[in-house]
Amino acid sequence: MWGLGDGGIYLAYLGNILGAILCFVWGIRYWNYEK
Amino acid sequence: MFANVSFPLLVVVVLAYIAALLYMGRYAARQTKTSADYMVAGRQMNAFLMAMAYGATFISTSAIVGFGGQAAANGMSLLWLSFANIVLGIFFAFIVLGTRTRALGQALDVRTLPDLLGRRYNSNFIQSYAGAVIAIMMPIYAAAVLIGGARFLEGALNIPYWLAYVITAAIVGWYVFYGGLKAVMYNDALQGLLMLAGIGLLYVLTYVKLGGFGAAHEALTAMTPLVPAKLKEAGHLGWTSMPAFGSANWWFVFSTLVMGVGVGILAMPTTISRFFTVPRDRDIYRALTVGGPFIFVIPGTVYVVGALSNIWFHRTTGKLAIEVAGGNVDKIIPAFISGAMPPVLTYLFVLTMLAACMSTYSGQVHLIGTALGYDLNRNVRQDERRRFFWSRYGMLIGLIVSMIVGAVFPGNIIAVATAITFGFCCAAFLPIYLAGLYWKRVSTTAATWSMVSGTVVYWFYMMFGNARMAGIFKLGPALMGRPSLAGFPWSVVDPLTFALPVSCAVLVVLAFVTAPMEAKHVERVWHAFGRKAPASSAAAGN
Repeated sequence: MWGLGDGGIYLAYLGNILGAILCFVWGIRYWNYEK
Repeated sequence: MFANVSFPLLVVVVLAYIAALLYMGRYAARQTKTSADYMVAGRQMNAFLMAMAYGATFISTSAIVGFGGQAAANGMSLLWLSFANIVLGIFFAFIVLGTRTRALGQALDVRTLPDLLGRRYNSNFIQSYAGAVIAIMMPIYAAAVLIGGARFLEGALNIPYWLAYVITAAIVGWYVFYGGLKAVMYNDALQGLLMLAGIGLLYVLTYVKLGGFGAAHEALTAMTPLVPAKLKEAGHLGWTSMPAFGSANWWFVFSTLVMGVGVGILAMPTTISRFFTVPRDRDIYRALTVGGPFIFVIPGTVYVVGALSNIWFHRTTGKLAIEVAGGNVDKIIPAFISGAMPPVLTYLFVLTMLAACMSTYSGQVHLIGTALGYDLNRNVRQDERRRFFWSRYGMLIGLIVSMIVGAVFPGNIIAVATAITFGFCCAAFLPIYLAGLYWKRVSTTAATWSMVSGTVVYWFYMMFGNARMAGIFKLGPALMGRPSLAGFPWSVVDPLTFALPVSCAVLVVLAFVTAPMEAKHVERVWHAFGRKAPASSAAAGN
């Protein structure tokens, strides 16, 4: 898809983007964590 | 190096950047009055500063110039390294390790990773040994970072390499000496912002230059038949393909780079010490919002740009990136920026590279200073005035040692030297650090032998097993009369592949066969994990 390359490269690229989003969302979720 | 920019203006921009660093150093020096200020920034940094300091320390010239160049040679499989950096180096490190590290640091007044390990396991030996590992190994990594920065400054300002080398070290040395970790972190924030701007633009402009996202990737895929024969033999299947499973190229990318650096960051003392600088867990969670995207932009996008640079080099010179660089991968990213980017943005890229170097180098020499002046210097640990003094002067010694190591290093070394230090620290510290935070049963004996066995196995395989690493130190090849003790694939496997399982196994086995630590001590540690943040700091942060 999108000429990205083989499955391993596609997964790695997608993983980078999803990983960054996960960090951002998690940080917002625990923004006011009580500790 | 940058023929397309105004030289006098470039000099002015670089001097303005240096002036900003020195000003921040002076500002931090005024706030640095105790050894806690010097070593852990008074534990009063905010989430943004911590995230930027963590990211900017984590990502050095090695990641941009060294590993970006590796991506140009090996292809986009290096994206697995940035994936590991985000998921392990940020998400896992912050949530699983960072929160407990911070809590223990605050409860027991811990200043450094060796200090944390020493107090957790109630062992002076562990603290001293860990300090020695840092004092010996960190100058190798620091030297690699310094070389990368100095090479860039040399090319940018057209000054002799030795002068660029001394200037870079002297500026960092000045602000770390006077301002301690506060100066490091304030400057890291500034440098991190520069890096985000520079690399973000590099990412976007590379795609623009190559005709867009899809067109660029398809063009790179179409270049697969051009992979040099030597790389093909090593398992290279194209820049948009994974290397052949089990090939020399696969082992280098996954065992040395992805595992060595991707997993190694979990036990890297420079970044771990950032957790000591914030007062509450929520600061660490808040830092996640900045840390994850930071690592995606740098180095994730650099690896994409590194691989894509082959298209531009091929279109303009008819050669691949590695050929244009004369086989030295460390020259590819600077050559691409200089040739392919608009002149006006070259100024920003020069600062980006200097920022990447100095932000990491400052954290390294600060760490070497605390290792020499505090962890290895048992007599000063209880004396406020002396530990302040010795941490500062230890830093100066570390600075000089790293400069000497850098001067004797061969070229083309940045990525491997980085991987060695990450791997060594990982084998030595990761099992006992993780167990220290989560496993009550582990004993001092188990932790001690785990750390020692990890370092011994890593050292042995580095000197005699891995041909590329053995070739740097030359001891193994000189004694054996051949590059490696064993043939392929063992000659290309990273030492961490053996050292980490050994140190883990030793820890687990000895934890079960030796007496556990005194229950009172363990409860005291666990009590720290459950403690709420001091009311004053909680209020201050809202």
